[in-house]
Amino acid sequence: MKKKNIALYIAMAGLASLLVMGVAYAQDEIQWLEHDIFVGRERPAAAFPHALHADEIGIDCLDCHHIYENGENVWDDSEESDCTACHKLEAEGKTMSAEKALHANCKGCHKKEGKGPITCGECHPWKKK
Amino acid sequence: MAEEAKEQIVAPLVTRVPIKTKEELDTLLADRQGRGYYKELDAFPVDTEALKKTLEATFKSRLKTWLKICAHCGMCADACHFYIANDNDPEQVPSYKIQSTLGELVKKKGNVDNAFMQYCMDTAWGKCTCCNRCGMYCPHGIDMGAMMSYLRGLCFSQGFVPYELKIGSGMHWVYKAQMDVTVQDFVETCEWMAEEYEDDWPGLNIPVDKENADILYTINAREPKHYPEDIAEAAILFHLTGENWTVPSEGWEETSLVMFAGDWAGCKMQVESVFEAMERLKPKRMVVTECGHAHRATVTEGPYWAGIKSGDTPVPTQHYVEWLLEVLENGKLKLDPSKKIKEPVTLQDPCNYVRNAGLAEVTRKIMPYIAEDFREMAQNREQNFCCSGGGGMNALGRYREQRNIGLRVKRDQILATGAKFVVSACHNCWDALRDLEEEYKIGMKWSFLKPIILKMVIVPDHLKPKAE
Amino acid sequence: MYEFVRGPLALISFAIFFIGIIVRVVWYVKGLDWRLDRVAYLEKADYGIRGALKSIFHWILPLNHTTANHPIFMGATYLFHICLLTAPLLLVAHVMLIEESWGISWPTIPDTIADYMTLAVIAAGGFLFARRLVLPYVKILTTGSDFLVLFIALAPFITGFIAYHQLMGYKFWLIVHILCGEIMLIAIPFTKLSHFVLFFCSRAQIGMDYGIKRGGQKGRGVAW
Repeated sequence: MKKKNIALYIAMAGLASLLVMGVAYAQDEIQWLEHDIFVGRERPAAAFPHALHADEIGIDCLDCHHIYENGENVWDDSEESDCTACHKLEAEGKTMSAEKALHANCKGCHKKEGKGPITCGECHPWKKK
Repeated sequence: MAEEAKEQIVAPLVTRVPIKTKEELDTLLADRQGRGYYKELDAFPVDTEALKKTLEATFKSRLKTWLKICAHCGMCADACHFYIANDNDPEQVPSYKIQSTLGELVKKKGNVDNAFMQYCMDTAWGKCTCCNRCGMYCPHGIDMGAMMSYLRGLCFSQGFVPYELKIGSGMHWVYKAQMDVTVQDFVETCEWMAEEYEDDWPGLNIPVDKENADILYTINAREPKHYPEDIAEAAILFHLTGENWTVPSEGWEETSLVMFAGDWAGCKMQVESVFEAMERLKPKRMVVTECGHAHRATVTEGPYWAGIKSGDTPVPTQHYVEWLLEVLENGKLKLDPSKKIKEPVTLQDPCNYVRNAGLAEVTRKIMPYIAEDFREMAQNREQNFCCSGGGGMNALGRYREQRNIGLRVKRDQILATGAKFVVSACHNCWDALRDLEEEYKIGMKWSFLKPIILKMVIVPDHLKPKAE
Repeated sequence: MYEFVRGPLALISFAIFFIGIIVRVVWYVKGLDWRLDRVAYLEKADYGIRGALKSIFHWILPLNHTTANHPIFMGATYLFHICLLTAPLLLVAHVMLIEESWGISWPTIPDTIADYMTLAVIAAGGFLFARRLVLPYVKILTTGSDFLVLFIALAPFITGFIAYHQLMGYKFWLIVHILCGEIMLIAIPFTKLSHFVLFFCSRAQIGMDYGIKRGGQKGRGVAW
């Protein structure tokens, strides 16, 4: 049993030392996706730096905002820009539920581009910073 | 001293094989209390290769998993009467007793020494009666009694077996009985008993080797050897109920010290002798005497040793209590209600046919016929504690002290009922209760069912002795 | 790092876990031997199945004498096991990840409940840990591997709690949490944690034993 004891101590020591390390997290100019339709949400509202996406990175508006007519995205900035105006709590026909739409849109792009947060807590931090 | 002369015996007393001749048996018997035997055992080498091979061939799924998944939770601790009786000694925790013996043996792949094998022997026979109680309380369903029994087999195959059980095993090989009772001895005892009681019970007969009887009755060798009246009582009750019954001249021995010894070849040999009697005499069913381990060995485990795939005996088999309840319920046997035992009575549930054969309710249905004030022990039926004499322990001089300590749990259980009369339809329990009274003197009586019943029977007129 | 532990490593550990437990069960069943075990498994399958189900039923629910005799320990273990299985399986975030990867999903429980369950697992685990140190009849049985196995089982919950509440270094603890979960999955087939499946095998076997041989055909078998 000696060998296993040592393994145990190493594992415990490792975990304990990790406890004291912390990786800081900072953001600025944040917009919070606090849509009214999300009642009783499990996680805090997601943080979304719009300016970062639109201005600094220069992502095309139409990559996110959309209204489809005959398979074409006809959105322009005079149109509705609140996602939850169309995407409700539950899916309606082809329209995804808000939760799915937002996850697919943000996380999908982050994963595809290999940029931006993809873990739960990175978008949904408990403390607003 | 006389002992000194006996130590001159030259033949080896300790062997890895069963004793199969009368000469070897007599040599061993001459070694009083096994002094020379245990001395020889101290220097007896372990055949580690053979042990390894046996483990490889027989240590499979069930046992392996039991050993592996034991969560070391300790729920088996207070299930064991030895743990309780020894003031919660951690070394008496069933799981510990297994892990420190079989567990180590497996870990070391059989590469162990004499001292270790002696520790195994002292644990397997001196700290466990294979009552299987702990297994009932194990959340993982680990049957430590069955593991201990397996360990006994390993010990026996290495020659590490208590003296009395080496003899017991040898008796079976030589006499096909646990004691030196020959076919002739047995048949003569039956004749003698029939004659002895014929005056009181006209027409009383003990039919030997009668074919196609309804009941084949088989017994414990202690009965012809030491308690022949037990056979007479059985005969009288069969006589009173008009049963068409018989005893076999060969294959009458139900018991199995070979099972206690872990001599698996001996178990097969012994049980096959009983099954041969069944096949020879073609009875409708077999009834076994008031013995627990006999039922276990012949009815519960026996068919498997004999290689019967269904696990059933060649003809249906009943324990004595089952037959007794049957004739009480169908009215073949009538008891005088006014003769019921008036004082408080309690019942000792034998592990081997209650926990390990499901007959708990049978004896409970008999009790109202014989007792006015029946009181259950606090732990009863399948939950009952071993009498502390099971698994062969009653017979073992080396572990008498441990057995006597173990008896305390039973003593306290009995005292708590307030009853001074204990019914016990099992030879082992009966012996343990006798020793309990001798050791602790609590002023109790104990009895098999047959003598109790006989005191209460209403004898039909045509079976009464004719007035001269 | 996150992508690696959440992606290929998760896949590998799930594969080891599922294949491992299947192999365990197959080995167990293949190793049963009616002659060695002295149980007519196949010849008396009807009694056997009844006994097996009865045996599992009485222990999956607290319908056994051990629970009556040791309510605190058994209560703690039932709580430990129920929470340990339910919380991760029905956690919203876990189900979402599964759905993202494999397109399947199932109902979830609110995070608050999962949170209490996590605390219950940690508390019950602490109790199991403590009794190993304190109670003589448990202490004598305890080996280093018992602590290791308990630690492997508790680690995902402790780290999960830290990560979920973002108590410190979120991403780091999230990765540690996932790693701990994967270690547990991998450890299940190889350690005492194999009771995840072998519990059922062992209980079924002893149920069959009593159901077929030791009373099941005459009495009620063992009333667990």
